Amino acid sequence: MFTRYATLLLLFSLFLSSCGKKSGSKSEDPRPETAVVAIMGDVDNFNPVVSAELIASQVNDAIFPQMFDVKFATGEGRLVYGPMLVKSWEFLNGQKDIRLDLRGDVFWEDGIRVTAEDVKFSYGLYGSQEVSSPRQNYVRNMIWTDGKFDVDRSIEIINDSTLIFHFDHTYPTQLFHLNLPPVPKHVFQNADLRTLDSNPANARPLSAGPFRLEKWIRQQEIVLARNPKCNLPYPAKLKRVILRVISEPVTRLTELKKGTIDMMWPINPEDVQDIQLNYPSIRIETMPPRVYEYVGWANIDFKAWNESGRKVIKPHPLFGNKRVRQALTYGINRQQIIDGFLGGYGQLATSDISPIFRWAYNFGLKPYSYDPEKARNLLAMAGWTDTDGDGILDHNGRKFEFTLRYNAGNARRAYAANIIQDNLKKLGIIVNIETVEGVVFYEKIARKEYDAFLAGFSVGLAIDPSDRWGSDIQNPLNQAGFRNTRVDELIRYGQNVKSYLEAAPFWKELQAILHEEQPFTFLYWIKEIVGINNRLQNTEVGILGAMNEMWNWTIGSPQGSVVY
Amino acid sequence: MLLYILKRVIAAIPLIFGLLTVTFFIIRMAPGDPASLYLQGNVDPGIADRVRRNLGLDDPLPLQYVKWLKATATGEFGVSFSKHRPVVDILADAIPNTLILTTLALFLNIALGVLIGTLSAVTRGSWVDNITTVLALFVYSIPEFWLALMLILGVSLHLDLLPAAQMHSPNADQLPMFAYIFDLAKHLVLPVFVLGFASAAATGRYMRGSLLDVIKQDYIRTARAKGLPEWKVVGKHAMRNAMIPVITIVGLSLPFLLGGAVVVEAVFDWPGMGNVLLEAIFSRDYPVVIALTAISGLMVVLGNLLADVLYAIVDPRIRLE
Amino acid sequence: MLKLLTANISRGITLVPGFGHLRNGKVRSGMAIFMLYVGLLLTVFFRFNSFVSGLESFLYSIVLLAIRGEEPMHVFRAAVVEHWIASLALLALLIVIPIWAYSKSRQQRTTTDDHAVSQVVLAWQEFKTQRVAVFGLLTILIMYGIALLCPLVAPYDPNALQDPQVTKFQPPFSSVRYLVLKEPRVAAVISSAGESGKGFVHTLIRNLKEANATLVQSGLEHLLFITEYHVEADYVVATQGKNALRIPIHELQGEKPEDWEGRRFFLLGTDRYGRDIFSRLIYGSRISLALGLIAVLLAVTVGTLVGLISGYFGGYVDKSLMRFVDVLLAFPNLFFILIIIALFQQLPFPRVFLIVAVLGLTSWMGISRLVRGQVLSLKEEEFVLAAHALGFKHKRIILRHILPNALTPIIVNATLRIGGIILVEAALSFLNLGVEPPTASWGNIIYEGKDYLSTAWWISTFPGFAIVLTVISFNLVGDGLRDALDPRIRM
Repeated sequence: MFTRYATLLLLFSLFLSSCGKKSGSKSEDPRPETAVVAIMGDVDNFNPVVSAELIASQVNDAIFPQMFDVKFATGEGRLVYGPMLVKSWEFLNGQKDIRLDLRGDVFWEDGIRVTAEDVKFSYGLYGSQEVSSPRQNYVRNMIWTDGKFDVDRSIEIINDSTLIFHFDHTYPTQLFHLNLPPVPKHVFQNADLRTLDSNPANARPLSAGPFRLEKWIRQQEIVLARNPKCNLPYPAKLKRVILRVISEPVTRLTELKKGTIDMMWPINPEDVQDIQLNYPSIRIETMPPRVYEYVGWANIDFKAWNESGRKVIKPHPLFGNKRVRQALTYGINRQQIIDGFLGGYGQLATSDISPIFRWAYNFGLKPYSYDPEKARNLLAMAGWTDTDGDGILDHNGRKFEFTLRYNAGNARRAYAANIIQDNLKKLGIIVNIETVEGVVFYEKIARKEYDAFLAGFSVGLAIDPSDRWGSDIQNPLNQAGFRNTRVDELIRYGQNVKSYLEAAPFWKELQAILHEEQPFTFLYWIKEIVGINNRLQNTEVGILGAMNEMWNWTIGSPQGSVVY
Repeated sequence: MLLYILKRVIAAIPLIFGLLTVTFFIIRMAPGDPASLYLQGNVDPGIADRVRRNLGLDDPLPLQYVKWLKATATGEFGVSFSKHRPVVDILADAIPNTLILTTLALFLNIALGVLIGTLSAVTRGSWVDNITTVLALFVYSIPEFWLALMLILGVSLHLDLLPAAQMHSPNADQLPMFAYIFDLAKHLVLPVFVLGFASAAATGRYMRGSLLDVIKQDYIRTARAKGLPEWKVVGKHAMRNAMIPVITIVGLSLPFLLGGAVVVEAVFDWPGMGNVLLEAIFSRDYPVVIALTAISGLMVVLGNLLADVLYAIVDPRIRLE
Repeated sequence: MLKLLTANISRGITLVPGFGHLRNGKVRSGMAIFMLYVGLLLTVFFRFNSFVSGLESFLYSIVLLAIRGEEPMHVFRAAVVEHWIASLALLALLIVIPIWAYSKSRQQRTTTDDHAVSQVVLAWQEFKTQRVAVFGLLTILIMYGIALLCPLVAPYDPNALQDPQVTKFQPPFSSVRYLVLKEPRVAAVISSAGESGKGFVHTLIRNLKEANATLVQSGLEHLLFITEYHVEADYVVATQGKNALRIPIHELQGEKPEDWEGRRFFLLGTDRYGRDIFSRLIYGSRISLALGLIAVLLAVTVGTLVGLISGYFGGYVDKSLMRFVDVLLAFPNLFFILIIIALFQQLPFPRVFLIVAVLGLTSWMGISRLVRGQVLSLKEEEFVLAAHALGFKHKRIILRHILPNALTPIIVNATLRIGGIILVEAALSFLNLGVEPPTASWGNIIYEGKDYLSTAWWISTFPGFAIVLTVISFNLVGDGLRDALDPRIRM
């Protein structure tokens, strides 16, 4: 009996109080000097060596000392490096070695100085076999002995603040590979390397950056607080930045509209108009196109390849023919997908080198148009016609029918898959759509078990096509089973130049070949949409993410929720 | 009584053992590889193999089973594959959050259910009864997540009365004690409502049937014949006995307390067991999935026991053997 | 003479379905039957082409199959087969309903007072007195009827999409303009089959081709959806959202604007692909309703079997079976369903089957306990003991004596369960574990629309109503059945 009344009373009082509170709350900022950002999933841990989530690396950038001040020069389309923990640097030995001079006045939260020892120790962790860091490939071109990363030969300590990195050859992205943040040696030096990813110290990182981790309630929120002692570059301007884990998109958007969070992404292109019209306190910003989506085709017969113990290489019965792949690209109305889903936030893709790399992007390539007639001719030339009258193309007794897979829950890919199915049906091709749960999806793609799949990729900031387009079919990233000797040559040339600009002609030719071969049907580049409450200012949404340089964020005049 | 409980507990042990075994093999036989999380992006493919070895996934299945059984027997659920922390810690974080939600929902369920049931039983056959019956049926028929989404849009976005997600407001930790609790309570209203309301409809129908049965009994007729006012007859004599079956709902709801809120937690981003489970399933986090199943199975077994015991306590006619 | 005529007319009238009932004074059921039949006739009238093509296609395929054996197996495409089912079902209903109604009305007149009524008839009479329950039953029957006939009932192809930038997110009761082109926008696939040869088989193939083509056409081939248009000299200038198009008039159908323009009406609006929600709802009912029914049938079959065996044989059989049931019952239901479906969704068959199997096989335990209890008490009844004494076989005793008497609670339980299963399907869809798109099910229509609830509420709302209506109906029928079948409740 009591509980019943208690519950009712509670409900009632809540109702009353929340009604009453509404009028008074407008004047005062409920979150002084605090920004709230909605994130989709929790951070896995706060150790840059082992964290695998993208969001974790963005947060870690604000906590751990940054080696360089990295900016993306939009005009040139490349990364430029300025001093940060590294005060100055010098190329030696014909650019094969790099000497770094570190600042002497950078300290971890506990007062111990950040030294060259920390950097070397951290690189040892990044390259260690036992640790299995997802960033191990950063040390790929340093010195290796017996198949193991040799930290002692790769990194030479001159004194507390000077060290020399040795590489086995010269290439344009060497500095990029030196930009891994160091972790404190005195915390991790006795850690068990095999269980580094579950080391308790990963949950309470020692900061040397503008923010420190004040609180981490798992699955709920990450509270970053200003690190007052920071001089790298300086303490954060906001007192707190709170990252809230909200995975349901409807809920997330509701919170943004209500003004209870200050920043979220991605926003559906469909919602942009509604926000701009009805929620003047929210501004919409976009990230440059770094993510593209594509239909991956099995260029070789994956089934035969897998069944023969990864030996037999023969063309795929459907997609092994270049003409068929071209026809598929002609037969898919990519512009329709962009118009229908992305609105102004997408652009046709010709290959997987992003237009943001202005110096390397081949502006001469014209995207394939939507041309079903041409597609049909190409298919007929490849032998695909309808001989039995069922409206489906066939060739040597095989129907042109395949299963297109994408990861469940991705609305954009669902949309694209539906359009593709509809487009190809008109050509007499049956597409069965199957959604696969994320983990299994990527695993099967890597194992080359899918003949056709709809996936996306976020390109790195240094151009490196070797994994994807090199002729090594064993490489899980060579998802199409692509082999081309000229492409191998181009990659080799492009990765052995001293200055990035020298590589441009090679990358341009590579794009032309991909455009002709269509190992994938490259669909479109996506400009991700970020919604920001106007109270949050000095944000720098760009190629480096929405939370880039969040230590510069400030809070402007408080803007409450919508006024109707 | 104590002996009975002891006997039941002992009988439950092989039950739980069977449950654990079945779960282990189902999960291990399913396609999908936890190490594939490491296969995305620019990652050296050799790393996945090493991760697999580190996780002990290279051993033959029977050996894994024995190892796992030994660990589980000592209460050791292992370390989560994707979160890199002990499963026990993960559960310790999530369980209180879920409990606070589901316990309140259970209260709401029973309170509201008894209220509705009594109302419609007392007014049986009248328009009040018909309306409550239809309304209860209507509420029961609404998909949970759909109701939740509608409430978020209506109550939270358009009326701006209540928050839509999570347990606390940002910066809530800096609030004074009372305001902190108040903040939590505000976040609780919508999910508790969604969870409790639909089941209250079911409880109400149950209560109605039970009360109608009781009202037909002789002692009620006697009470009426004595000239007691109707509210006293129903309130004192009939209700007490009609509550017996309803009380067993409490026992049978024990598993609900931990596992009944999956959908609601997903919509409201409530950091509880449901969200832990979903995330674990989708990342093939075997230790977490198994631990969750084990605990919930335990809850079912205990719940049944509790229901029987409660039944015996409130109804002296029932003897436990 | 006149009397004879009127008598003849009145006898003739009883041939019209429903009128026989009306003449017997059964106004409500008579009207219901009549309306139903009118509905069927309207369906035939409006979809005559599809209806006939469906029958044609079926006929040709059977003949071809008989003549050529395995070879023309390609005719068994899902899109075509569903038309066969619908056309055949419609044909069957058109024939069966009048016959049934006529014989029924005859029967009503001959046996006015029935002394020897069976248990079933008694229950039905009891059931009929509960109006809400009858209403629920009618709703369910209509819904299943629509699901069966869905290709003929749905106004448009549920998956066809064209010019989404114009047709997407249309609110209910809206219509979109289109232009009719002379040539299809994408030419039909050119086929060489059946063209060269002469003779019966080739004619058959040609006819089959034609019939199938009529069936699988989306009806959009010649249409160009536009926002606005006007004529400029020899051109039609049309806009599609922000894009402008110039189309020479000779490419359009006919001469005058009336010939080439039209509007497509969307009763419940469209989704983000410009697909008609109403059509998707109708097609989705097929999945959702069938899923509920089949899963429950599965549960009932397994549960009854286990319960019967366990209760009848007792002893060790009983003990071990019930222990097994205990273990299964200890699995937290939703957790278990989620885990199995999530982990095994990549099996080489559509996920619908997995969902049906899992939902069916996780809900039989309650039924088996129920049945066991019934059997235990029935076993002691005199008629069963007598059957034993007569030396009847176990099989006969179980099937003839025990099962029919244990059926009542099973039926009630099953009816009440279907609604619950439809709700679980919806919840699975929300967690992205439901029926795979683009196949429509109520759950995944809601799921696809949830992100647009604030901008396009109609996508998720209507399937939600459909679910609520169905679940309510099943519960009403279940309650009604319980009251009708359980003599103890009869007061």
